[in-house]
Amino acid sequence: MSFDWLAGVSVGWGVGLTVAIYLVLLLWVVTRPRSLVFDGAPSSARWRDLRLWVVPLVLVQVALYLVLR
Amino acid sequence: MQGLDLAIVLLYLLATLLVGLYLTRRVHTGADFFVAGRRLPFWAVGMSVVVSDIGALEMVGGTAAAYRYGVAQANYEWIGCIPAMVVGGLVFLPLFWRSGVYSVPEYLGRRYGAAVQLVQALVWLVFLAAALGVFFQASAEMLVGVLGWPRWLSVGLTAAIVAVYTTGGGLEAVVLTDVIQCVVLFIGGLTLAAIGLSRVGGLSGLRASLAQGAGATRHHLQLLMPPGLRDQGGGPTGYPWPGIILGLGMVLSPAYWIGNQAIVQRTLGAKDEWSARASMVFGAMLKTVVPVAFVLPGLLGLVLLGQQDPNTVYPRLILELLPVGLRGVLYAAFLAALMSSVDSYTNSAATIFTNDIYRRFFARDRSDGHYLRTGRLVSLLVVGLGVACVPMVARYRTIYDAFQSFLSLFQGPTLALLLAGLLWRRASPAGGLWGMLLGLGAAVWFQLGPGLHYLYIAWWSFVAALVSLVLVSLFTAPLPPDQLRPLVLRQGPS
Repeated sequence: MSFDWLAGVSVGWGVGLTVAIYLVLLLWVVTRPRSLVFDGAPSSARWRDLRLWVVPLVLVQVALYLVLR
Repeated sequence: MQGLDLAIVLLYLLATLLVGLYLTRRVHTGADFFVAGRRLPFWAVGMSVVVSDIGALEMVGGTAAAYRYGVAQANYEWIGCIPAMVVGGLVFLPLFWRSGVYSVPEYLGRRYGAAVQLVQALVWLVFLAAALGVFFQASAEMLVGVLGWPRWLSVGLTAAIVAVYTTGGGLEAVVLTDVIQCVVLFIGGLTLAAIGLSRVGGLSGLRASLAQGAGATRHHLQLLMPPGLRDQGGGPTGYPWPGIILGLGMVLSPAYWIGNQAIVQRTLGAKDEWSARASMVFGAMLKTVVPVAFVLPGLLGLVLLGQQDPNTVYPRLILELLPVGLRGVLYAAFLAALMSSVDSYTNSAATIFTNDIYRRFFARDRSDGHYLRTGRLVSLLVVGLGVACVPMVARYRTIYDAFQSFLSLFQGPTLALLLAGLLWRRASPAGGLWGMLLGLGAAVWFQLGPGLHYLYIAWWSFVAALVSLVLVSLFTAPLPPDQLRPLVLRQGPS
């Protein structure tokens, strides 16, 4: 139950899994309908599009996990 | 401490107190007190959730862990926060905001019944009150060590300041003083990191110095570590990659960012649904920077200070690297980190007791003013309870570890109930109750029996709670559709 049986598996698999989680998250966010992102917003100004906020956020994370491995 | 440093610390304390007192005048109703009248901007909520999460213990303990184990400590800010904050912000928290609840136990109570609400409220209350004792103890350690004040004065001053603005100004005072605290914390932490980095010759100098450490620092620049790795004392490192991904990334982090009352309550105070969403995404952006301020110094300490007690690395770096004046900013940052946690926990405990226990089980239909007065009184009592816990928390670092284990005991089951409640219309009240009880039981057994690491306890108790919730729900009646509609994400046929 402590996953020690994974001790022989390369940490690279962990990095790959982490990057995959971030990329799935990115894909999920950018495919959210516009209406859902702007729901309850006082205006539909472009800067309020939260999908655009998430793109650099996730890409920086992916870069960090790829560099620090 | 030099006079200039002391003046900066006192100025910070005075500014916090004045802002808190000013906001007291804006509180007229229970909604003003518990959810800030729903008028908070997204940036204030985002800064507040981040600074509430960075406690003073993380500031010292996080740096100590980075000194000992390396950059892997940053997982607690990155994979352990960011995905959950984005998903929680875009999907789950707006639903809480729309449903008009004041607390997570209140949502679970509406979804699964009064028994679940009561157990959740009690578990949270015990945890929040005990945590306050740890925070006050940390405050005393700092003020006794730096200012030489008596312990009772150090604890009493911190408690009095927080009590004044929290009991008076409610959530709005908590969030807006958190904004000040966030600015002070980032200025202080990033300045220390920048000066330290220039001392070691930049990032390339740091990397080269760590490479010279050979075996001892072999994993210090790796974010993920293999399972089964032991530290010098023979204990687990705390960063095995399956535990980081499954326990931290999949359970503890979503449970914290979607189900922690201190976090959720801030987003409920956002002025509109978009602001509730944006606050978490903005907070996730700030989280990206946090390890620069509070993990990097651990690595710098390894290079600049050599071998020593990891818990002393951060204070030593302040003394070695910073000139008079900037030291005062860092001491203020420490107090900021501490007070932002104390005010958050105090306000959350008052909200849970007033709404989930007192209003629900003892005084159902009283006036709004009655609940406002109760909330203020309970805030005061909670601060007093935290102070009373201080003598029992002499070795706060050990107690802090115990709290991490305690969190793992109920975060897994809580997340299972939240996810099933929000996403699966068939989840029944009986399923929720049995899922929670069996999940809690499994967590206690994993702790006492196999003695698993808390990251794995969180994962397996989540699995146990989810499986039992699903099985019991399949054989028991779900909520009627009209009650279910405002509580789930996917609407079924009407």
